Amino acid sequence: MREVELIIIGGGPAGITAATEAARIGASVALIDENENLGGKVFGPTGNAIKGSVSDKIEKDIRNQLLKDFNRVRDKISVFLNTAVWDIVDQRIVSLYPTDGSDKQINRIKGAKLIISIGAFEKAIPFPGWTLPGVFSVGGLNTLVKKKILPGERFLLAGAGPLQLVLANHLINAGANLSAIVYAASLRDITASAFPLFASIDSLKLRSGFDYLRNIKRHNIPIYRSHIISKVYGTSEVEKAEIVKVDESWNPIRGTEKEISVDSVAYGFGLIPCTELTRLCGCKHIYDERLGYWRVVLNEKRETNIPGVFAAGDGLTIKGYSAAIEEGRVAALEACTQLDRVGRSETDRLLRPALRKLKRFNRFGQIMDAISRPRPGIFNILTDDTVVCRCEEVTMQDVISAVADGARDVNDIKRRTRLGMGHCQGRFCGQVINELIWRLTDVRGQRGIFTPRIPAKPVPFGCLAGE
Amino acid sequence: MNGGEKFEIEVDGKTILAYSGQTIAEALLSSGLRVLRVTRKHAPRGVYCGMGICYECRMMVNGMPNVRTCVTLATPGCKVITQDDSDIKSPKTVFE
Repeated sequence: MREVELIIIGGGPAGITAATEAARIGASVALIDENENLGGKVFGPTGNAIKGSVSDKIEKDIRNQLLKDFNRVRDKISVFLNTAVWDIVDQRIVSLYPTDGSDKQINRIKGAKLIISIGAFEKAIPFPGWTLPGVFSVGGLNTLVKKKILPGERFLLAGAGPLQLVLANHLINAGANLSAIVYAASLRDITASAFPLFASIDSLKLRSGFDYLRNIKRHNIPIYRSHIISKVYGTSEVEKAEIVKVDESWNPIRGTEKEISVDSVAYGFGLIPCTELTRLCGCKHIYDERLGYWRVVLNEKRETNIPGVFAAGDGLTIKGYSAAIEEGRVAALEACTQLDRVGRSETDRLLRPALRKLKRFNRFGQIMDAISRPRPGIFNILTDDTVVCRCEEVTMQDVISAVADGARDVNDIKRRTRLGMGHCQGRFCGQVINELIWRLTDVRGQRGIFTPRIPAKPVPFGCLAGE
Repeated sequence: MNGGEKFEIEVDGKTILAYSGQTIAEALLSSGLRVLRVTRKHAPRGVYCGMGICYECRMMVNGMPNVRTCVTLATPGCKVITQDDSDIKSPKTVFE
C-alpha cells in the first residue's frame, strides 16, 4: 500500500490550496478528485461567473493564481483524477476506485493526516412531478448552460438562494427563453437580509450582484416573489408547471395557483455540505438549525474531533471559494505542524490573517443560508403519490404507511421502505425525511441522520473484493 | 460548447453528434434527448443534479450499465443505450 503524509480528498479551491501549501512545506501529498479536472464546481474549466462580469474577472484572477501556485509544486503531489473514495478505514486508509472505467493499479492509500474537502451539493424539497426529465437542480442546469447547452425551449427557475440569480443571467446570455423566476422569499425577507448582507461582503461582489439583477430587469423576466412551484405535468417529460403563492411560513395559499407553459425547470434552495466522508470517518456532526443542515464539528484549525482528520471548504459550511481557499490553507498548515514539517510559532503567525478573513466569510455564508432555508409550509405541496426517495421510488404514501406502522426514526423508515438505500445513498431524501415524519406525527422528535455505510458511492463488486 | 472536435456517437442504434470535451449527457441533451433511463416502476428519468451525485442519468455505455452520463465524456463511436430497469425485480425491505 502506498503511504503519504497527507491525503486530500476533493480538488476544488480548498483541496488545491491545501495541496499547494503542504507540498511547498515539503510534505508528501496525495490529492484525489472524482472529476476529469481539478478545480471543482467553481474553478473547473468552464468557471462559474458570467463572462465579462466583475465576478468573472475576480474569479479568473484567483483561479489563475491558485493554479499557478499549484503547478509550481505539482511534481511533488500525487494527483489522482477520475478517482472516487468509497471507504475510509481507521480514519487513515482511503479506498479508491476509478470512475472512468480505467484499470488503475492503486486501490488504497494510507495517509498520516487527512483533509476532506469534498464540497457541497444542492438542497431540494420533493414536489409532485419533480422526477420528470426536464426538472434539473439549479446547479445542474447551470453546468449545462455554462457550456452553451440548452436542454429545452422554455425555462422556469424556482426555489430560493443566490445561485438562481447567476443561472438566470447565464440563461439570458445564452439566448434562452426564460419564462419566469419563482422565488420563495418575500420582498420583506429579502429587504430584511439586505443590510447584514451589504455589511458582510466586499463592494465588488455586491456590484456583480446588482449587475445580475439589472440584467434580469432589462430583459423583463417576470419574477414571482413569495411563490413556489407546486407541480409539473407531463407524460415522459415536463410539459407545464404550476406555481402557487405562499404565506410567510411558505404555506401554499389555495386559489392562487397559476399555470406556466414551460418544458424545463431548475429548482433548489441553495447548497448543503457533503458530509458522507466525515461521517464515514466517525467525526462528530451536529445539525445547525440556523444554517439548516448537518455539519461536521471542528476546532479553529479545521480539525475534527478525530485527531489528524481535517475538513475545509463548502464541505464544512457554505461560504464560497474565497473562504474555501483560506480553510484549505489553515487545515494544511495545521496538518504540517502536526507532522513536524513546520514549527508551531511559524504556523500561528501564518494562520492569523487567514483566520481573520474567515470570520467575515462565515457571516456572509450564514446570511445566504438564512435566505434560502426552506420554511415548513412548503411540505404541504407533497401529495400522497409524490416520490420522496428518487432512487428507490418511495412515495409519500409509503412514508405515511411506515409511520402508521410505528416508524419514528429515519433509519427505521429506511429499513421499512428502502428510502435512502438507492444509488444516491440518501443524499436527497435524507434532507427532508425528518420533517415528513414530524408532520405526520405532529411531534417534533429528535432529528436523525442515516447511519453512514460503505460504499460511500456505488462501486462494482470487484472493488469490494480488492481486485 | 461547439468549439471542440466533432464526432459521432450511437444512441439506441441512432447516430448523434458530439464534441470533444462534452459529456454523454450533454451530447444527448443537445440533440433533444432527455429521457435517459426508465425505472423499475416504468417512470422516465433524465439529468437532474448534473454533477454525479443523484445517479438519475445512468445509462448503458459500451455494454456497461449504470454509467453516470453527466460525468462521463463522450468518445468517438461510443454506444449508448437508454437504461431500462423496468424488468428488474424490486428488492425487498427487511420487513417483507
